[in-house]
Amino acid sequence: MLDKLGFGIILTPDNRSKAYIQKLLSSHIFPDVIVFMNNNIPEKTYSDEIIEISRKNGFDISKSVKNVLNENNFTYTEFDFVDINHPELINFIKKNREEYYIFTGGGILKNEILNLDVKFVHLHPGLVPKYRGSTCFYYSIVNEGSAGVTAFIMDKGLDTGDIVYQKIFEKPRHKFLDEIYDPYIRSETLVDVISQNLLNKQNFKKQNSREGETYFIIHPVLKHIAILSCITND
Amino acid sequence: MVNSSYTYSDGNLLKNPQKYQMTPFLDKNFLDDYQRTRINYLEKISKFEKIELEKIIHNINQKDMQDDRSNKFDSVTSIMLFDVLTALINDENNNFDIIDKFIKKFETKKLIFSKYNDNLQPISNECSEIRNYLLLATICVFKFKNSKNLKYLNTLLKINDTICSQINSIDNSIDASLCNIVITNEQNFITDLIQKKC
Repeated sequence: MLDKLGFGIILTPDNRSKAYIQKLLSSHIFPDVIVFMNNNIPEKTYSDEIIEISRKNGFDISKSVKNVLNENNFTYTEFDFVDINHPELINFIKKNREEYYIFTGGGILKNEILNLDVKFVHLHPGLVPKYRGSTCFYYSIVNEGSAGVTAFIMDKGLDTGDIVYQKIFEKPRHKFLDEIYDPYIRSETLVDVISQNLLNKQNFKKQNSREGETYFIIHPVLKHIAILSCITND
Repeated sequence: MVNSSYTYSDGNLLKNPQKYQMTPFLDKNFLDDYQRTRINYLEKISKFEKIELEKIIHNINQKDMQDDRSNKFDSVTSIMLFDVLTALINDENNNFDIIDKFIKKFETKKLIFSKYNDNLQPISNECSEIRNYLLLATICVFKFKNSKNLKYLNTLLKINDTICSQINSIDNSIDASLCNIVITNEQNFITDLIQKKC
């Protein structure tokens, strides 16, 4: 019987969740509760090149979340929707209270789920408060040649919750930033958070929500500049 | 404008705004296509006289705005944006929070409505006034020039996509000159970034 780690994880059918569950598994970290919100969208297929690079980054992009869960005999609860504010999910969390749930998907938590006696941890691909909002790693790569991840406790605001941990990553040497780099940097940070027991230590840092900058989804021209800066020799 | 991989200003973006979600990475040719596409749009308005920004501000102030101010309330978007732009140009020590609020409004719906209330909620369905897009784009040009904050260049690119998609509605020298200013500046900013980063 394994000791309880005090956290659950809410997975979704995407590359981020693939990286999260595979990295936790390879680090021998087993969440107490696993929720899989699965709207059964068809699984994407990937080229050999991208699969090979994903494996070099510690996860296999060609393996679906469901297959990984089943192949490793994980006990999990599956829902046929992807909506963090869904009443069925809220009821489930009420009945399966963990102190923390790792939330892999996007969206803002509404009051009903925020008011549960549970803390939701999000891994945001930007060092807050400097990089809040959308697609921050692209902006950070253009500005600084690197990107950061912040693990924080979700609150009502956009990326304004208490900071658990922050980590900086070099820009990648490949072009698959959405598919591989983003899941890679978030999952590496997640493993640090859990393996260093940072949630239970509760040494969180408050943010000043008026400081910093909020970015919006990156325009394709800036996105190309960011990616080309990764694959062009310095 | 055939066989361009830059398609983000195609179609009527006021009817079908771009969402820019999960846009694909192509290759370096995409940036060349972007530059060419923008130049092609500028050629469409080359028949209009080119007026310098200082004179544009003077002309708008003298003609359009004075008429508007006597007839409308301060919630008229063109007046609000014009006031912000002139304050920015004159380097006045204003609170420019309203710029970020307008940028958030544009980024959310990719539209600028003709009238907003005091809480910046739209009180008009009209969103086709090209002047409003040109004014907010000019504000973004100044904000990026002064701050080098990519947030403003990002919004400038998106507003300019929308302006390009409406290029045929530009029918006067003031709007054509503003269009020339915002697109030329945007291209210079991007060329500079490419040289430094790629």
